[in-house]
Amino acid sequence: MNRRRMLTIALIGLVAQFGVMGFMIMQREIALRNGVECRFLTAPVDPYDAFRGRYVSLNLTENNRMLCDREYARGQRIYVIIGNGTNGYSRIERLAPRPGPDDIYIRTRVAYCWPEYREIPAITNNTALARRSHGRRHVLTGKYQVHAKLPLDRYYMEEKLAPEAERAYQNASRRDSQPGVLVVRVWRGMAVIEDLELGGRPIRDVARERLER
Amino acid sequence: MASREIEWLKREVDAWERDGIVDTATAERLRTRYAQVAANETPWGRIIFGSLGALLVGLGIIALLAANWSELGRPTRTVIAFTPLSLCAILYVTGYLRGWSSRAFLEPLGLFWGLSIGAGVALIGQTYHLPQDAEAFTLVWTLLLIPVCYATRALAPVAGYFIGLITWVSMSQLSGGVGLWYWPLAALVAPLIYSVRREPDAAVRSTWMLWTAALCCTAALGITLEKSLPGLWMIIYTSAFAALLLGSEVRGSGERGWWRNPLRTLGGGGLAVVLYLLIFRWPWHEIGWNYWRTDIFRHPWASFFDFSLAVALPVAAAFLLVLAFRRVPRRKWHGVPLLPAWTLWGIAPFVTAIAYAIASHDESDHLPALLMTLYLAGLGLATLGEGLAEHRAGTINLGVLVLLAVIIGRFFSSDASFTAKGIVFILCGGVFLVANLMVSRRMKQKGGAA
Repeated sequence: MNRRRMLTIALIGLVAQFGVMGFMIMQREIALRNGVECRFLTAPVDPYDAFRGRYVSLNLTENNRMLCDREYARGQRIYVIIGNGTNGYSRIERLAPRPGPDDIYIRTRVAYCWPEYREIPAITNNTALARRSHGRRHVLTGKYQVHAKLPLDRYYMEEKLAPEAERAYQNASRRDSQPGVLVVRVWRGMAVIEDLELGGRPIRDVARERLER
Repeated sequence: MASREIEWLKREVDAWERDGIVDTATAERLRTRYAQVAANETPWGRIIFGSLGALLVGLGIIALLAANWSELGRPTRTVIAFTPLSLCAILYVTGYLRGWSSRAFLEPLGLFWGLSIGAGVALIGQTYHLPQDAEAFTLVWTLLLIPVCYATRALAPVAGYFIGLITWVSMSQLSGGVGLWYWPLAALVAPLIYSVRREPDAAVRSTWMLWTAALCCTAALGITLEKSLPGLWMIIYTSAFAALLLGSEVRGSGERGWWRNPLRTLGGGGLAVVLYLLIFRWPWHEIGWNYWRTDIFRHPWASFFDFSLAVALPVAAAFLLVLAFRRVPRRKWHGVPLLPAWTLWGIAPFVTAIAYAIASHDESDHLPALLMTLYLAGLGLATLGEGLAEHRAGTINLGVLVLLAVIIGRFFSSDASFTAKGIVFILCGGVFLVANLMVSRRMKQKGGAA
């Protein structure tokens, strides 16, 4: 292959590489600037990623498993509709195949979907069968349990701060029930984490203070 | 020609000159010729140390970025994410302008460039707290390696591309996705490997590339199958390996040695391993239409891939078998026309298909296992016979190895007493020792390899 053609390929490749990375950044910057602020209650735990370093694993108190009227395939596109809860924090209202025009929603995919069963008393003359089933049988309710993937599972922190953040959360939640709050900006289906707060303050500051003490 | 071979030749030329076999002028011409060959030789030491350096620097950058400096704001992190990639761009363009086209420059650059993409994407993920999605991360990184492969024609990005693809397809299948995209994506880099293989000084590099691609594609074949019809893998894998073996026979590669001919080695070796597994009874349990798996049948159209392969690969193997058979010269042994042993290896998909039909129809695991045992033993004997006829010790040993493997495998899995097993092993061993001794003597008498 001649050198000029190799250079052309290299330049096209570089444009693609810079373009993909630039697009990833731009999308999230727009979401952070123009997105609607949502606040979810969460519990942080500290693990590690070989490429991206230390992070706190987020465990939202909101349930992302909902009962739906229709069946979804695994990996199918789904929308998580966000609403305001009575406690002042955001909550997941429902899962929908399409969002309404005024909805605040996160675009994601179905992790699992399985039919819901209801237990009813078994009526049978077969005593062996009745004993085996403990006098009960399961019937389909026509509804489905749908588990949506939520793209809010990691908050990256400096390697020394992350374990401190987890300890701060454990202390705070034990002592005076201070909740961990995940601040998220949602824009056209994209959710970008803005901050993680503990007792109304960024968890970074809380962890840093503990480290300096 | 390797440097140690050139050194040997130089010593020989000195000796020839001393002994008067060649005159001084001829010896000088030979020295000049092989000095040029040595000068054009790939600088492997520089490539390996350069690549190691690039690898360490790249991994160091990833580790530094993983440290996650919270003091740095988003704009600074963005600049840092693009820095290694920009450095690669500058190095590449500088190399182009200054005419640096040595492998010692392009191989480490390819490796560092590949790592820079991963580091950049990872830093963006860290900055914006992207969720755990190793599948998407691997796919983005892998796809962005394609231009690096073509621009540097280096081994590391090509190997990284195939390893990235196989990692992605494994994760995708595990999470319920369809892995069929592996094949068109793998095909994107195939023209590059073909083109590098045609370069005069790229034999080692292209062989490594082909090995990586062939091994990853062999593994991907099993991963991407939908597996709704149990046991279909036997026909698909035997056909794929037979097609590789026969394809390399048709191409008639002049490369010597198992390492330099990856498709032939992988085809022959893979076929032997799969056929060996099929002499046991366990692969024939619960296979065929009666055991159609609806539980994993999530992508109906993906099953067509399995069926298409189960038809297309045996047809391709049959076509290559006819083509290869027409090209080989006819040989006779004591007046008896001889078939080359690889033709018998090449019909493996059809024997497997017959065994599969028996297992599916009768739901018996005994008969197909017996058929495959007889077939593999026959292959061993045919290979041994060919080795004896052509006085090739390697082929003889291969035939013996296949036969021994069949005997050991079947006997250890049988219910025969240890006394019977012991006697049979001793007898077999004795027969092989005597055969080897006789062959060695005959080869010595005829002046062949002993």
